[in-house]
Amino acid sequence: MTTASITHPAGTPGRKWGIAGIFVGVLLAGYLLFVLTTTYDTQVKLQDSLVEQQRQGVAKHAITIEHFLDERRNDLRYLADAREISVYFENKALGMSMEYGLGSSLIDITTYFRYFVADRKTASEPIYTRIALLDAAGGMLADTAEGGAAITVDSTLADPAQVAIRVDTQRIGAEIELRMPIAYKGQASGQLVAFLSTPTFVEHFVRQPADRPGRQTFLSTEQGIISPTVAHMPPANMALSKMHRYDSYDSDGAPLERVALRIPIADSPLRLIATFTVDDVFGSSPPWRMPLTLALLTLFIGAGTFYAYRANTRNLLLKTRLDEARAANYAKTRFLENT
Amino acid sequence: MKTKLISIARKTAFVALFAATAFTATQALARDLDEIKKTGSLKHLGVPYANFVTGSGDGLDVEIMQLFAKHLGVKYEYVKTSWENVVPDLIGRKVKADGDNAQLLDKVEVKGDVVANGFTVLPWRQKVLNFSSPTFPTQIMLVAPAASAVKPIKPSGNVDLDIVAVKKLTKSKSTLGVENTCLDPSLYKLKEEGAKTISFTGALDDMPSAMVKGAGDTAIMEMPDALLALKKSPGQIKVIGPLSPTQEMAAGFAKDSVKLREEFEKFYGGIKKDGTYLKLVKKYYPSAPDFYPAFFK
Repeated sequence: MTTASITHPAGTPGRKWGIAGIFVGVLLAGYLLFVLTTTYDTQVKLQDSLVEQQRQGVAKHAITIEHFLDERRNDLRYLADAREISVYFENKALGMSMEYGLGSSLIDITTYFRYFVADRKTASEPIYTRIALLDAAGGMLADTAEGGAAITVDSTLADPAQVAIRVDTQRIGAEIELRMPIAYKGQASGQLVAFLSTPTFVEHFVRQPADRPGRQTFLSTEQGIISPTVAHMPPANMALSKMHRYDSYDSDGAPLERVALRIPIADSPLRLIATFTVDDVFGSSPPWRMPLTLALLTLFIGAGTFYAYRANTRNLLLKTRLDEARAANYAKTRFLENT
Repeated sequence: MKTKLISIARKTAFVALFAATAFTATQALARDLDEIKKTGSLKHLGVPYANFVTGSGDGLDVEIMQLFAKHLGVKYEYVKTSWENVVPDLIGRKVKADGDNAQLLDKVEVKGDVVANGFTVLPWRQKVLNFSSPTFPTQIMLVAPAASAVKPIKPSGNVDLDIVAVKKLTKSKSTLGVENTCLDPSLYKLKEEGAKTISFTGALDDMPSAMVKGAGDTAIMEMPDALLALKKSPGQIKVIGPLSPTQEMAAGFAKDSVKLREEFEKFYGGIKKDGTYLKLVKKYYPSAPDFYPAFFK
């Protein structure tokens, strides 16, 4: 009989321990699987939470911009109620001519618009670059910009209560336009058009304080990005409200993967794009790493424990056999002594 | 004894008459620069009118005269007068306007040194006083209530033709005006056109509302005043068209006040050059520089 060939007949305690061992082993394996699965789920949820946190941060920022645009809509409604504008249309309805009185009303409107542009500021910078009033046929009635680019009337606008926001990416520095129909005694009489200063808007309402390096925000439409751009921009037509990985480069030109999120700005064609480093969004390690590490550690510990148990069992067995051999030898010696 | 008494009486009467004449003669003479500086005050004759003299102590012409007084180093004093008396109060003689001419009538007390209240340069006024360089552009217009059947003319591009067209519209219409001023219907020969002219004796600023209430079918107004009325009461009145070509307003000085007028010219040139004048114009008539760009350039 060698230590290498220890067998137990059926029903002996050794076989019972085998069955129990298997059962405990299965339990342990099940528990380990449960822990690994739970750990992985937790990591995934943590990552999702981080992503959601970033998404909510950008969504909050988009709401701030929506409020700013709502205030601008209110500006146009306020302007449309200006006494100067109603005086003009009143005098026009009376048949007065531009040469003899009516022209003075338009000068008053322009003066008032200029005062409004100079007055509406944020951090001492003008919010508007230009405000103009067109008649129903598209003729320019009043304009704060002398010799400004031509503005055409938008015949699709009908509802005087609605202020439409349009974007023309060719109009550098004043891409965003607000437009509102004017009605006099129920008749469409013209349109009020105001152009926002893009540098002021972007600087004070789009750009965020650089509290963490690597984060940028941009303004865009379906046609493209309208903020001042930098190299390696994210694509402008990403799916809305979803994190999107894209390739960029760091300051040394080394490839760098970044993440971008595009959020719509309600009631406008504008989109807010925020870009982050991958770590800022998904954490510094993938969710499977922790469970894998845990699993490997468990396996290592388990293997070590099993090996130690086996070694211990063999030692015990060997000791038992040795004791038995000694006892048998002693008994034999006593028998021989007695005979 | 009797002869002696008569001689004394005659001498006394002569002295009294001489004194009265001298006094009257002195009263009939307006003050010039030296006397103003000696007395230490500049008397500004003003009639509340539009934003030239608001009646509340300010106005374009009030501020200009206040600056002029400061320029002279004297106190500013406002002397309220009326359209009827403004010229007599300046020159010390009653005046009757007769077309482009003027008749000097009785002597009266001189009450002021300079007239400035949207004072239009008219030929008959030029006969009896001296004007400064023009201080503001104007034009005489015919206005009517908004609901009036009289419609504004369509400009022809020729102001003389426009004037003819406007005058035709006054036929059989009662037209409010103010005698002896630039709003005098006789200056525009409206009676000859068949208009019924009515002399308005209230404050000039009240004439538009009086017309709207039925005091007249139409009224004569100066353009700056008409524009203010259009702003204050939109939809109440309408401008029909011109009764005159573009005119000018200026400060008025008595013929005797030569040095005063010369000093005003120096002062006025200075405030035009340093921008003070334009600032004041924009304060009281913000749209004027754009409406009359040639005048204010």
